Amino acid sequence: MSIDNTIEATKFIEAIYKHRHLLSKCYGEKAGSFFPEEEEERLQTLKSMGVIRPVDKHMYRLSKETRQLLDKGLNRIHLRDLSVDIGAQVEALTLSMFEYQEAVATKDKERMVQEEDELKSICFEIADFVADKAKNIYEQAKIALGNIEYGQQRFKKIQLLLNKLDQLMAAREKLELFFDNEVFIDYPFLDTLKVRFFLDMTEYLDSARNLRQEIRSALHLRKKRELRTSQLQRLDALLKNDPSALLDNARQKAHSMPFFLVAPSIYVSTNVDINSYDDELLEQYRQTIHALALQKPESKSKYIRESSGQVDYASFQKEREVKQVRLMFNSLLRNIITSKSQMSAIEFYNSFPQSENVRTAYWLHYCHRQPQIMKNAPSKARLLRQFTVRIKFESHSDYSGNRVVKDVLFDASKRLA
Amino acid sequence: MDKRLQAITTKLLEGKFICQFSDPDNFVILQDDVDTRLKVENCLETLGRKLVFNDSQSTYYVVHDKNTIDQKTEAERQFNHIRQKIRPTLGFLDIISSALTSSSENKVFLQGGETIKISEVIAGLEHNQAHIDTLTRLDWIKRKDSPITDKVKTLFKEAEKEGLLVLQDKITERYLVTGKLDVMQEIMLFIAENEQLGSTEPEPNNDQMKMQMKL
Repeated sequence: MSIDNTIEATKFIEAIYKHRHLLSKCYGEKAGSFFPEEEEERLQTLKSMGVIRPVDKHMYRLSKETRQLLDKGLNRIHLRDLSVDIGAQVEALTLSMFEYQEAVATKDKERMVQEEDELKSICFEIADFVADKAKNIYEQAKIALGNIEYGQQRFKKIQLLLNKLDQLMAAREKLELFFDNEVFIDYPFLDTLKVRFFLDMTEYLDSARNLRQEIRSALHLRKKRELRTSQLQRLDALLKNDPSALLDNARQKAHSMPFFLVAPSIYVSTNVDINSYDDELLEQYRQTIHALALQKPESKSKYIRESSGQVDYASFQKEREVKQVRLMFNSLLRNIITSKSQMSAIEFYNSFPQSENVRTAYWLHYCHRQPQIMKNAPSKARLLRQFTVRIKFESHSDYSGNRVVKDVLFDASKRLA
Repeated sequence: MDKRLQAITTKLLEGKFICQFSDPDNFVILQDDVDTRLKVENCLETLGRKLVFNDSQSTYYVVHDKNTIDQKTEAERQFNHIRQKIRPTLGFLDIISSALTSSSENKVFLQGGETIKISEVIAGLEHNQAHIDTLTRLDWIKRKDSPITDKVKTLFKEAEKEGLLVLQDKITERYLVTGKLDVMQEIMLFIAENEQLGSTEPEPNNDQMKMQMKL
């Protein structure tokens, strides 16, 4: 590296160090952090260095490269911490134990009590430290293992967690070796302390050990999936090169695989065999259909104009009928609203002067359908709210649920009363 | 007849798959409720059918009872039917894994129980012309000149139609991979193995593994 490059690198590192608080804030919030306007100048400097990038007004996030670099660094520190801290704590324990032995040898009771406390506190500290690390790794690994979103990154993370767990196991071995020392048998206090220490740690270390196995299984299955994928890719390539490949070897053995005997679908509409002549079942079937028809009757109403013989119903006659029916219906509504009473569509039809131009069936169909159409039209729905509409049915088919309209009753008396 | 039993039997007879991801309620009944399961099996038996599940035990479906049909003829018929579906399915799996995997990583095809979002697939494809070309060439994409968003949506719709995906969240357009895709992959692996296209078994691992974990 040239001198110029070295100077530039130094400047770069200094700048990053100077603005480390801004960077750590960005690191904490992946989607982007909001900064006050006065920070803008410093943020622009970092942006020009390619360390951060804007996501919105006054919002910045770390650039991909910076995040990756930090992730790498943080994970390394985490691993290093684990072994360094265990090492340091074991050293402290050794030192404290020697001092305890000295106190026992000199029969200095006051010092013995002090050293016993010191030893206890170091042991608790180690157990807490290991528990924290195990718990942290456990939680992270569980999230990564339980994540069902398709993605590759999490396997890198899982691999990393496995490395951390290996470090934790190594730390445990180190502690076991240390506690194997004969001195723990010679001094009853140390023996009791050793037992308590391991009891405190066992829960965490057991879960960590199980988790380690779980992760290894997951990674093994992952490997298996990669191999399966590559095998399927080879099949894809084979079929790409020869789209009409007969795949004879597989075809001949197809009957040995259950899926190739998959049964064609049967669409089940009823469980009653109509041809069975079982009266009891048929009666039950009839009753079910009847109940269903009552529950949800067919309400479709369709008016079909009858044929006028060889010539179709003349268009002007149809037009006149439609025009007339509208006039009658408007008149009906006006009458009901002004008189605030109830009125039957058939009665109104019989009393209306020019009703002969409209067929009764068509009038009933119109009175039945029009309120439903009005209900869906915002401008007319308000008018419809002035009265209630009740439909009288003439007959009701049990089997199909069809109903024939006999009359339509319009009632404004209750609403406006 | 018990309503649950009726629903399960009807579903199975209609050729549908009952998988632990998209239909967990019925799957749990079939797996844990021995009584209901026996009743379903008896009911199917009278129609010359048998309940089976796939190798990874994620999905139940119905096959012919071997004694009721000419196995070889039936298998041949079904093989020809499946043969038509292999390339579209592999094309779908390949394009999705291409979209969601960086070039430095090994590809892994989707598996039952995983979730994918249309937006993520679009984001993974839109800046790579080679991937877009592959997408356009897929059998399921009929309108080759449509924008990439439409193509990806068509792809998902077709997979949904085939029963490989189910829509889990309409707003985020998140789809759940069904157990039927596992079944399809097992079929294709059977074909690949019999056509001697390599083995799927990784090197043995001592720690491996009593747990039937799915990843």
